[in-house]
Amino acid sequence: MKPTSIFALILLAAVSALAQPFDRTWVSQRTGNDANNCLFATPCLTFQGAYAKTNPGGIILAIDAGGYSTVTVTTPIIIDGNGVGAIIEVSSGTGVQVNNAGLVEIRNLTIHVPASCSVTCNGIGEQNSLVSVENVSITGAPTYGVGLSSGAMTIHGLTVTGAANTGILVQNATATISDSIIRYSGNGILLQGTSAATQALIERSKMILNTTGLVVQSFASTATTARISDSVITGNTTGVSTTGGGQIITFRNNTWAGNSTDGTTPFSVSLK
Amino acid sequence: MKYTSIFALTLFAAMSALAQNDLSWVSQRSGLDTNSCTITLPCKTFAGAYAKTNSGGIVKALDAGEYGTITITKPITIDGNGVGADIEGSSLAGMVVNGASGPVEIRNLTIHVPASCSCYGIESLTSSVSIENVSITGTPYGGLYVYGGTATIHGLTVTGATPFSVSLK
Repeated sequence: MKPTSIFALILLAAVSALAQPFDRTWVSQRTGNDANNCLFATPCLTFQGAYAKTNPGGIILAIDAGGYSTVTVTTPIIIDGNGVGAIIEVSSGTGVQVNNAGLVEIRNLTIHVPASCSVTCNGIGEQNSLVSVENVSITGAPTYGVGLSSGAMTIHGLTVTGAANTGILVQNATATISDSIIRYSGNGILLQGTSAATQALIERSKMILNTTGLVVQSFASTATTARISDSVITGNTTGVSTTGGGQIITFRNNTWAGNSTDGTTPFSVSLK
Repeated sequence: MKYTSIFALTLFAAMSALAQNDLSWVSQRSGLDTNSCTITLPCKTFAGAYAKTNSGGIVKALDAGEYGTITITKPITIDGNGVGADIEGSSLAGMVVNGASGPVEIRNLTIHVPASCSCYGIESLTSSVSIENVSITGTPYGGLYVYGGTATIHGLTVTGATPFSVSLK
């Protein structure tokens, strides 16, 4: 073989090894392999495998029903179960963890935490990012369904069932929660301001049959506020509770009744 | 064969018989209830998969199909998974949830009760049941009957039921 041919082969091999990531990648549990390039015809097996081959700001889509494993992301990305029946089974840690990532979307997924996860398994975790969660069901026995710590999250169409500690934890962060249901959990929604202003707007959502429906806790005089509109708090042992100056503002249009104890009288304002 | 080998084989057989999933799959097209109910070896019916799923686990449909009636007595999620899963009611009810010790979720399903059956769509007895995105249709005797326990219902339609659509007792 000529030296030029050998050089060409080496170059080709080097280019293949450094294959550029793509803007759109695919996963399939039935036909995928994480050694693939994650294009449609040669999909990857897991979200984490596809993430490694996706450009920042890109999108990962499921091709068919299957379990796609837990994933940690640190760049802007869209993870989309794609309406085909995708699930993340959380045997340890967190289903989707987002750290210092910028804009991230998590869509159309089931996240299941089995009873065998004996310590702490969570659905979605966020730190210092801007995350959108849409049409996601978190079920089984999560410790936390969704947890935010700094940054912000918009949540739409989320259900959390059976969270041992809390359905949605908002800590030193900002959240909007719409058309969502938190049930059979410890705390339904928990706001904790410990070092930065914390607020949540809760709209058209239901906190049902939890130990406590909505908890707002302010520490060290940190502004901590839940605003709640057109929502339901019922069937909980305690409807709402506030501590340390945490505030709940209601627009007088909620169904806030039928708890063993309805709880703290909220601060009411008119719709505007 | 040495006794130790026989013992090992017996133990293996016993463990296999007890194998349980946290996540099980059903497919009418490719499933068999003698399978392990993993995605590559799915089961055929919800009842078959339920038997091989741990308490607190989840059963999902892989593709469109009819997945049979089921009686549930432990915490579990049954998820039609948005692929077009149906339960055809026969004798008593499409689904019965009875005395489950934790949350039971029933999601993304059609339950059809034919004229030949005087059946409930879903019957829940002293359990904590969540029903979401479920259509109960045909001619159910009752759509959803809840006796004791609790229920959260979101996105349920009941059509053509006599004498009641939803009854809480």
